[in-house]
Amino acid sequence: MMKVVEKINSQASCGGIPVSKKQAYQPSFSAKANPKDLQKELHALMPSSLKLMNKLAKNMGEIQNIVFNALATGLVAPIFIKWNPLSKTDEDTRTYSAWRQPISAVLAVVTQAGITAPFNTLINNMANSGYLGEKYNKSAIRDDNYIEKLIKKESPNITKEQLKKKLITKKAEQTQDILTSLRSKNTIMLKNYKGETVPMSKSEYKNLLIETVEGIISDLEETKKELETKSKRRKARGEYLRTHNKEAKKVLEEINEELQKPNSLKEFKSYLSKKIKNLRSSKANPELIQMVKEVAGRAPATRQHDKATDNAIIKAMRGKVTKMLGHTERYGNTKTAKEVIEAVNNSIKGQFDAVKESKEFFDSIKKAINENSITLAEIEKRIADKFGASKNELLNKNFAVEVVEKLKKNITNNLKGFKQIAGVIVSCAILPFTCALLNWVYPIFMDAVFPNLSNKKHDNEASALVAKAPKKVEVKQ
Amino acid sequence: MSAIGRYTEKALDVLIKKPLKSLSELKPMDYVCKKYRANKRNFISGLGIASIVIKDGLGCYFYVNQSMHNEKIPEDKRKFVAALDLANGGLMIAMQILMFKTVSNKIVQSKMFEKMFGKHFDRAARKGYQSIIKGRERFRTLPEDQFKKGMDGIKETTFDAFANITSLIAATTVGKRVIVPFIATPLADKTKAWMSRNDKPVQINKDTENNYSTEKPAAEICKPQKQNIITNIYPKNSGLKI
Repeated sequence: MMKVVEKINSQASCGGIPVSKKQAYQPSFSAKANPKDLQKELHALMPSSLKLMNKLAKNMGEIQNIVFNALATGLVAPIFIKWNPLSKTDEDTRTYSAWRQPISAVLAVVTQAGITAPFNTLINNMANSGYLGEKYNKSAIRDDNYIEKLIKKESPNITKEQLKKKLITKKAEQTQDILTSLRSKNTIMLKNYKGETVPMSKSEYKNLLIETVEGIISDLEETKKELETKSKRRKARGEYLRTHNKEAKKVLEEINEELQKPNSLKEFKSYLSKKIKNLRSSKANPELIQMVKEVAGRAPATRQHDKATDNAIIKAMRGKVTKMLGHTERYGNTKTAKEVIEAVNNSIKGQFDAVKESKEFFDSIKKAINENSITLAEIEKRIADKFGASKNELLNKNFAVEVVEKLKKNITNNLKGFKQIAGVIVSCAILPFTCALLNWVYPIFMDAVFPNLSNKKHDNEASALVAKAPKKVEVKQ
Repeated sequence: MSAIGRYTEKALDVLIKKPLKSLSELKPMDYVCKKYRANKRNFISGLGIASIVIKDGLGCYFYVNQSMHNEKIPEDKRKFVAALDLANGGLMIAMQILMFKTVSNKIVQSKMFEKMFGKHFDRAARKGYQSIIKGRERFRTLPEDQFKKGMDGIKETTFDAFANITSLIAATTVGKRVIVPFIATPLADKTKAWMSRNDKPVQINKDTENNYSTEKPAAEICKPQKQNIITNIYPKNSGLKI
C-alpha cells in the first residue's frame, strides 16, 4: 500500500497533475500528510542504532555485497588455511592452497560484477519493458530507475534537477494512467514484448482482483485477531482493577501527582524506573507493574531532546495515567467478573461488528468477481455506498489503489521466484568457465609471485640438490 | 548503431533474452510464482536449499576435477589442493544449509530483531512516538492508520537491513570464511589420504632407480660449512668402510 499511496501523495504535494484531476482520482488521500515527510520525521526521532542500520541498508547494494563477500574470501579465509593448528599438512602446501582464496575472490568480483549483477539488471529491464511474460510485466508500474533511464535516453543532456522533476511528472502520469484504465476500461494496459499496448489477459486480471479482495479479507481477519487479544488484555486488566482497586488507585494517584510537578522528562523517567523497581521488590501484582511500565514506555528512545519533544512525551505520560485512572474508576464500580466481561465486550463490540460487516461485504465482492458480474468501478461504487461516510480506513477502501499495490507486490514476488530459478541456471552455466579461469590463473600467479612454493623453484631447487647430492656408490668407495 | 553493436544486441536477444522469456512462460514457473506470491515459507526455503546444493555441488565437482588434472599445480600439492576443494565444497553446502535454517532464516532473524530492536516498535513506544509526531504542527491531524503505516515502513526497512547485515557477517564471513576453512583444512588431510587410498606403489624402473644416499637430506649436506666433510656424513659406528 505504502508506495502507491506515497506516489499519489507526492503527486498531491508536487503538483504533477491539475488539481481537478487529482481530486477526481484521489479523494481519500488529498487531505493527508506526505508519508515520505512522516518517515523522515520518524527517522530523525529514532535512536542512533536504528539510524545506523537504515544508513547501512541504503548503502549496501549488490556490488557492495559482492565486494564484502570477496574481502571475506580473500582476507579472512586464507588465515584459517595457512595458520591452521589442526592441520598436519606441511606449511608450504597450506600456504600454496591458501593463496587460491584471494585469487578466487578477485575472480569472483570480476565474474559476479560482470555477469550476476548485470543479469539481475537485465531481468529488471525486461520486466519494466514488458518483454518477459505477463506475470512479470512491470510496464504499467515502472521502477524509478527504469523511468530515469528512459528520460535520459530521450534527453541525453538533461540536468540532475530537470531529471528529478521529469521523474515526478512521469510517475504521476503512470499512476494516473493505471487508475484511469482500471476505472474506465476495467483492465490494466500493458506493453508486450513487441512494444504494443495490450490489455492484461482476462484471467490474470480477474485473479488480481480476487487476490486483492483476499488480501483485504486477510487484513480484516488479522484485525479481528488483534481485537480478540485486546479484549483478553482488557478483561484481565478490568478484573485486576475490580479486585485490587484500592492498590491500583493509590499507585496511579501517586504517579499522577508526581507527573503534575514541573519536573524534566529525565526526572520523570528516573522516578518511574524507581517506582517499577520498588513495586518489584515489594512483590506487587504483575498487572500493576505492567501498568506503570506502560506509562514509562510512553517515553521512547529518541535522539531529539528539545523542549517540544519532551513536553509531548510528558503530555502522553500524563494522558496515559489519566486514562488508567478512568479505567480504575470504571472497573471499580463493577461487582462481579461477569460484569467486567460485559463492560469490556460492550467497549469493543462496535469494532468487532465493523470488522464482521466489512468481511461479509468483501466476501460478497469476491463472489461477484468470481461470477464475472462486477467491474472495478462498480466495486468502488459499492464500497462508497456502504462505507463512504465512515472515517475508518479499514472500511473506506480506495480499491483501485489496493489493486495497484497488489499488482506491484505480485510482480515483485513473481520476479523473486523467477530470479531464483534463472539464477541457478545461469550460475551452473558459467561455473565451468569460472572454474577453468581459476585453474588457469592460479598456477600462473603462483609461478610468477611465489616460485619458491610452485614448480618453478621446485624444479630448480630439486635439480640443484640432485646435482650436489652424494651417490651411494660414491659414499661406499 | 554500429555493426558490432547490432550483432551484440542480436546475440543478447537470441542467447539470453529469448531463453529468459521462454523460461518465464513455462508452466512450472506459474507454480513457483504462486508459491512465492502466497509466501509459502517451506517451498521458498526448499528452493533456496536446492539452489545451494546444485550450485555448490556442481562447483565443488568442477573445482576438484580440474584441480586433480591441473598439471601446472605441483604434483605434491595437487592432491591437497583438490582435497581442500572437496572438503571446502562439502562443508560449504552443509554450512549454508545450516545458516539458511538459522541465522539467515527470516523467522530466526525476526526473533533476533525483536529482541534487539523490538522495544522501539512495541505498543508503548509507538504511542510515545505518535504523541511526539502529533505535537508537530503539520502532523497535528495525522490519522492513526497513516502513522501505523509510517512506523511499519521504518520497521520493515530496518528489519531488511538487519537481516542483510546479520547474514553478511554471520553466514558469509564467520560461517563460510572462518569456520569452513578452519574445519576444511585438517579435513583435507584426511580427504587427501582417502583420495590416495587406491594409489599403487610406484614401480621402480631400473633406469630411474634412486641410487642416491637418502640417509641425510641433500640440502643439509650441501650447506657451505659441511661441503668439505662428505666423508663424515655417516656415524663412525655405522659399520660402513669409509
